[in-house]
Amino acid sequence: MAIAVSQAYKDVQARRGGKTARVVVQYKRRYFDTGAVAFAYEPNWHTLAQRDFLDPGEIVNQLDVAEPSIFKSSTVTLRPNNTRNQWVRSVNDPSVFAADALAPNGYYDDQTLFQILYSFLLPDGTWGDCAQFTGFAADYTPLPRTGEMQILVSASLLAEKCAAVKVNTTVTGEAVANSVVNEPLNPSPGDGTTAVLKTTSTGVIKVVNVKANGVALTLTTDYSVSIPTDGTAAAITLVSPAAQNGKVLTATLITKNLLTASQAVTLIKTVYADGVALAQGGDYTYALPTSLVGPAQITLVDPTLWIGKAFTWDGAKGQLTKKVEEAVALYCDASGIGSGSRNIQPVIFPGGLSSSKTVDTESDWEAGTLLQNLTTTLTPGSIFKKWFLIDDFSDGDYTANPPWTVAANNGSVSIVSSALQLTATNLLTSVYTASQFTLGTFRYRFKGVGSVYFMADSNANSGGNPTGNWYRLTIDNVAGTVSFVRPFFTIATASGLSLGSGFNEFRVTRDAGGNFNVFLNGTQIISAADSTYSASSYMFVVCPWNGAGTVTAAITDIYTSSELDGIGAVSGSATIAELVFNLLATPAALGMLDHFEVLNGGAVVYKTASAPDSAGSPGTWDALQVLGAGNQMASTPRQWLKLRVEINPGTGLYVSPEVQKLVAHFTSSTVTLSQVAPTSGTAWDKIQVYARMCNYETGWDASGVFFFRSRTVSGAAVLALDPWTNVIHVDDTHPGWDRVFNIGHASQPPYEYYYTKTDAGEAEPTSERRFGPIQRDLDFSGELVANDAQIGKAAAQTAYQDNYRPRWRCRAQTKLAPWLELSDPVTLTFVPDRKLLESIAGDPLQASGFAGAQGVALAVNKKMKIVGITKKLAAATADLLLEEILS
Amino acid sequence: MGAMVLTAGAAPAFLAKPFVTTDALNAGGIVVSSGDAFKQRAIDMSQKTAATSQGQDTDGVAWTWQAKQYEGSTVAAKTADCLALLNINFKRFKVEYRLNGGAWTIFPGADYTGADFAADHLILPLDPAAGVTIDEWLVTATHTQTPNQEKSLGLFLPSVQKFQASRGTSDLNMKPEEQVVTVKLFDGTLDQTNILHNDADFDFMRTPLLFLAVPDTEEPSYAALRGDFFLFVPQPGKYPNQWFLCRVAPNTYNAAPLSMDRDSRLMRVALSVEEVGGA
Repeated sequence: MAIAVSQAYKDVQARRGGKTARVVVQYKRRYFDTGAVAFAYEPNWHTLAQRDFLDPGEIVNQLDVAEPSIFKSSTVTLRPNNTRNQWVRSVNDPSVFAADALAPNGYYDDQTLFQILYSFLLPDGTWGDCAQFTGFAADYTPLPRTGEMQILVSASLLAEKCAAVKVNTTVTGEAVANSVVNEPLNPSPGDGTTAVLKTTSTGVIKVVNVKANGVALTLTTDYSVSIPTDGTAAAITLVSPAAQNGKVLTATLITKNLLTASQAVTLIKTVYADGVALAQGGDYTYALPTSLVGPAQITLVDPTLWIGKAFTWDGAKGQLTKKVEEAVALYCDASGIGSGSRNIQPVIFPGGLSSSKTVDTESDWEAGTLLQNLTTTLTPGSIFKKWFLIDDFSDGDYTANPPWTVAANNGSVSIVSSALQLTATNLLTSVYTASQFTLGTFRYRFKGVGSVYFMADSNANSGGNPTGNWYRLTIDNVAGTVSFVRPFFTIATASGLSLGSGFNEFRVTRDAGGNFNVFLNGTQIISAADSTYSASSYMFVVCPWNGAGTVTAAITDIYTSSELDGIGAVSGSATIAELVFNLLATPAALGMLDHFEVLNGGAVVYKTASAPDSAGSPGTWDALQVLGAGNQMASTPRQWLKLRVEINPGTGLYVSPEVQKLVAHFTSSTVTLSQVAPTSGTAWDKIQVYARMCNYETGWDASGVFFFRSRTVSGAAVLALDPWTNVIHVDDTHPGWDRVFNIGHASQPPYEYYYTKTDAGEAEPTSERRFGPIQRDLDFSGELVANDAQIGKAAAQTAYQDNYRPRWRCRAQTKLAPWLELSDPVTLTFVPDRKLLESIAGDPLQASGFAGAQGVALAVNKKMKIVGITKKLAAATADLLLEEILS
Repeated sequence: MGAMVLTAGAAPAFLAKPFVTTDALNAGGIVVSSGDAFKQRAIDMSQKTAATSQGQDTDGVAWTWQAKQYEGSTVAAKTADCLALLNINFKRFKVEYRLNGGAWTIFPGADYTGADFAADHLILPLDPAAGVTIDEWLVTATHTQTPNQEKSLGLFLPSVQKFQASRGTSDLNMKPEEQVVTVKLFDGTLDQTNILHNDADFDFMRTPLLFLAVPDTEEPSYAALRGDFFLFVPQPGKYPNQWFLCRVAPNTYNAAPLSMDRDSRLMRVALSVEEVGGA
């Protein structure tokens, strides 16, 4: 924006005569500071004597000249006196770059910093300076015939020459990540007899972390590993297959496809196996992440050569989750444009960006900060309530919640220490209650002698003995036996057990294949297959009488789960999932929380909370809020968002609602890039892409300060241009029809976004009807934006809104107002016929062109934006390319 | 050759370009006791500006203007046989010099600490054989001709004499070349900006010179003027303050034997000189 000058300076410029100006060219030389091992500029400017340089010629700055968001960097050619070869680099005099105390080895001629000032002599006798151009020497060409040195000075030199990859960081010796984590082995769960398990992955070169039901097994003690030399699946041989019967068996594998631990990798320079460098091409190939944030993949050509090796790699990687302004600052840093030499405005995207956070994979759910009594693995991608409490008798009442029916009482039925205790003194005592366990896990604690019918399709009984179809465990703590029984058939019996007189935990798991496993205190004691019965509505507890004395049985903490789990902790808590997201900036607004679920007769409650950022972590959370109408999130928009899911099965039901997916929508005004990981191009290339993406403009101001700013012009006009004060002529006017675009289109793979007159609700006659359908295409395929921000959608809208109306353009030749810069707003008044300017009664504002014939005026106080400015200092004029500012 | 004659009726004189230049300014080689913002005006070749003290406008309070001679960024020792202080208001002052940081020595004829000085310029041509080798200068002024004014030094021009024309020029027509830019606005009115070449001047002197009956032994001196900038004093006696830093305008030098006597050893030398601006 306009260069800051004093009012006195402007007053002098406004004079018609009696104003005195001078053009000053000054420079700072660059030297190598051997102590700091860095280049530095001398502290003070040197001024070229007037006779030592020629007119610097035209200083050209352009913006949106060829088409919108095409940025032209500016260069200036200086031609200082070089009759003594003083502009030829030498450590000796008379070279300008000769050695001195500050630079004992002399100065470097490249990147010498030049600045051109246009100064007015102010009424107080001092000079008011106004920078016109600042840049770095990019080329020197001696002109022997004229005794001059032609120096090309470029404002954008540093960024134009800076390889974009300089923003990446070096990686040295990073261990590769395991390529496959917790891959189920074949078979899994263990079938109790198969000893040799195979991996699904082939090309395995190392196997670590073999687990059963999530618990690590011990190499040698529990298993051994065989890595094939033919690149096929690896084999894990269990020492005791029966011990792993029914357990989910997994292993972590390193395969021939190695993945880097780092994401956004931009270069795999060298791969090492046990510290020995491998040959690229011969030993491995690699693929960098392309459009997605993720690891790079290193593929071993012959994995059998590297069995058991530890792999590391050297290379480079980009940076993750950076706001656009932070990314631009990174490129500036890489270019040597320090914080004092740049002005980067935060990107506030016009209209805001539709952004979202999605939870729909197992890993998404497992990243939750609170996962209480739920399972993420029953159906990967969904969550369910895991443990259903049938009864723990903590209420001291077996007649309610749930009600137990006494089928036979030949002793007693009572609650003792939060357990249902049955005694039998002559015949059996029996109770039952509703239960629907058929698949998954049935779990309870039991002591004494008795039978637990964990599946019974009917409550019919004969003297307390169920008469329908059932499965039961018969437990005898005196005999030390546990039998797995169905009507008229004992399926299996485990004996020699030390059951003692206290409570033991029993679990029965059953999968869809009819495979039963019985666990006693976490140890499998029975494995059997039986598919005879598959229905259940009740469970029975029967305390038998063995013909003498009193027999006692007690049961409590009865749970069921749809998941197979012989050893995992049991929870009686409510089912709650909480997921926390860093939205990277305070969103403009929170939107809907889309949720997808199957209720199965129950209910799911969704709540949200928000918190401000506190050094990269959530600060204090506010209270949880239930969703409003239309699933609108009711929390205050803050940088951190918490989603809470409360799953409540229906009363008396033992089936869980299934929550399949959440999508939290919010509107963000900031644009955050998932990664800044360039592999090609220059810093200037990348900065321009960001500017186009955000509808910003970028370049260097006259003081050499880099800017990255909104293109929206605001504020009052910097200068009034009219024939009486500044305008020499106005010509080259265009209505701007050729720059109309009334269909905004942006490609942001995998989506294509369009914005048209229909979306805008444009009044007739629409731009499309008047000019035809004209599409402006934007391509964001190379950039990945965080928060699933629909930047393409917003950009398409902006492309339409900015361009669907023609903007009048013209070229104005004016007397030099040195403080004008690109994007400055000005007002323009101009009548093409000079005769019409003749004033009435000496008042130029009453010139006939305006008082009587408005129609002949090209512009009357029309607000315009400077999109191009060419300053001709020696002629004290400027050529302005002006574009109408539409309200 | 003796010292130049710079009194009434003297012929035009040519001297080397001054020893204290912008190089000294860029190298930080000019130091003043006050008026730092104006110190460069003593070398800007403008007749209209002066380095002045600031706040040292009391007689008896010394103001100093000290300068080292630089070529590029290196201190350069040179032999001076002429010193000109133009447009000064000093009444009591002295000019000293030294070499390699040695003791200060009064430049011959430049000690007015014990006597009053009443002119607006001091020009001290020495016999070239008596030139002194110098790399640093010190001007010290304590009193002004009008009491209690800021001390003012218009131009400080140490140099070495080249030659003085044996005869006056028959064609001296000094014409200012103005650096004036005029813009005609669309309403027909004019807007004028004076572009300065130094702190005060927006014009450059340019004049043709015609020397008739120049001895042919003297002609090479004229011819050699084309090599570098030089100080030109067109009328040393009448206008001793008018010293210009000039060059021979390209393609203007012309020397030929006088046509009336092709065998004579007298020549006609014509050239144009033009001012080049500040030192």
